[in-house]
Amino acid sequence: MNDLHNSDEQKLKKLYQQSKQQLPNDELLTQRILQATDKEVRKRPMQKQWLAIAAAVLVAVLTVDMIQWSQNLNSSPTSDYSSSVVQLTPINDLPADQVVIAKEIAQLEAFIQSATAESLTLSEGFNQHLFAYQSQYMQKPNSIVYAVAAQIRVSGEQLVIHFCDKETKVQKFYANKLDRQEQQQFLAKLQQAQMVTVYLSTDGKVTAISPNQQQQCS
Amino acid sequence: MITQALKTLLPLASGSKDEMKLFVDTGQAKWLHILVKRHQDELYKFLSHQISCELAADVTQKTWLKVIENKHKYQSQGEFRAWLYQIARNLMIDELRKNKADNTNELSELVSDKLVPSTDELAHQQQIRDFRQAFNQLPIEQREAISLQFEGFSLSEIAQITQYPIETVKTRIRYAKQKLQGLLAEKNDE
Repeated sequence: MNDLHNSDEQKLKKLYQQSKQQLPNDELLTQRILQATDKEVRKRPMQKQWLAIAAAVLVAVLTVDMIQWSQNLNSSPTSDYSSSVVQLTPINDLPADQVVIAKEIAQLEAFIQSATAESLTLSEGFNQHLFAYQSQYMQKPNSIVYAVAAQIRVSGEQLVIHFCDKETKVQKFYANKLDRQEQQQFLAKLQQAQMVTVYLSTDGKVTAISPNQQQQCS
Repeated sequence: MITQALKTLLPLASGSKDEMKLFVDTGQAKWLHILVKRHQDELYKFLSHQISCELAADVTQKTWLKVIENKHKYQSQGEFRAWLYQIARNLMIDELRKNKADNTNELSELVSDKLVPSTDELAHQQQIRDFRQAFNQLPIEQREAISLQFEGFSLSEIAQITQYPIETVKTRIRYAKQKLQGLLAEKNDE
């Protein structure tokens, strides 16, 4: 098969361009796209706030149940998770309304570093409870999650986390991804300073938030 | 004139990566809007030359929303225009699979609105009409490959956009050109 001569190719290309030029313009399409993209982009910062907080923390809040289970934790370590703990995101240049969170994160960073020096073990009962949470809230298997006791407060769209028990070991377990809409619906119902359990994955995303019965930091 | 217009687009296209990077870094819509205004018409016409105008508009809008959704993937993608067309092409293929009906345009409807054309103009319009009919007879794989080449993409870029090996792309373009040439020759003989 012979290739076409260059002039023939140019002719085809020219016809293509002319054919394309004759297609009708959709004058309103660009406006619709600008509006749609603008709306979509404006939706994102709300999600980004969550991710910024989550990426900086990399820790989750645990409940009274967690404290109860932690008493049952097997004292002999079976796994060393310390090498998997991700370095916290630097807290410079955070918006002013995140300063409270940033201060708490700064305190937490040292805590996490010290906690991860030890091997951590999860009891069977603790795992079972987490799996129960998974079946209730989560979808995607095998994402890694950290957990630590803390108090969470919701102020507008800000998630303020106060780590109330610096002695609680950072726990790590496998969990599934929480449906974002379900998470937002739950957060909308939160009362000020209500205690909750927050699960964050290694990529810094909030994977689950569940309510708990604890009234304040113990 | 078209060639000149294309030439002026090329430096713009090569510079568009910066705006995308700025959009990725800052999340500010203004950077995306620059890209939309720069590429929107060209992308829409590229699509509507292959599928119906209605579907092309739908795919175009979805493409830009996908750009936002996938912005974190852009970093390693390189040139923005090829990345944009890759997204558009994938969405177009998805839509064609969903719709399965023939969504190609009828050129006769598109070029018949000229007022009192001259004999030369009529002949020229007929030539374009013939081209369009021949173009629509190409298999979709050949159509998209040759369209992308006519849009100014290199073979490696077309391979990236269509996710086929370069040799496959080359073959498709060659067959497409030969078939177009053959069909146009038949039209001339009629």
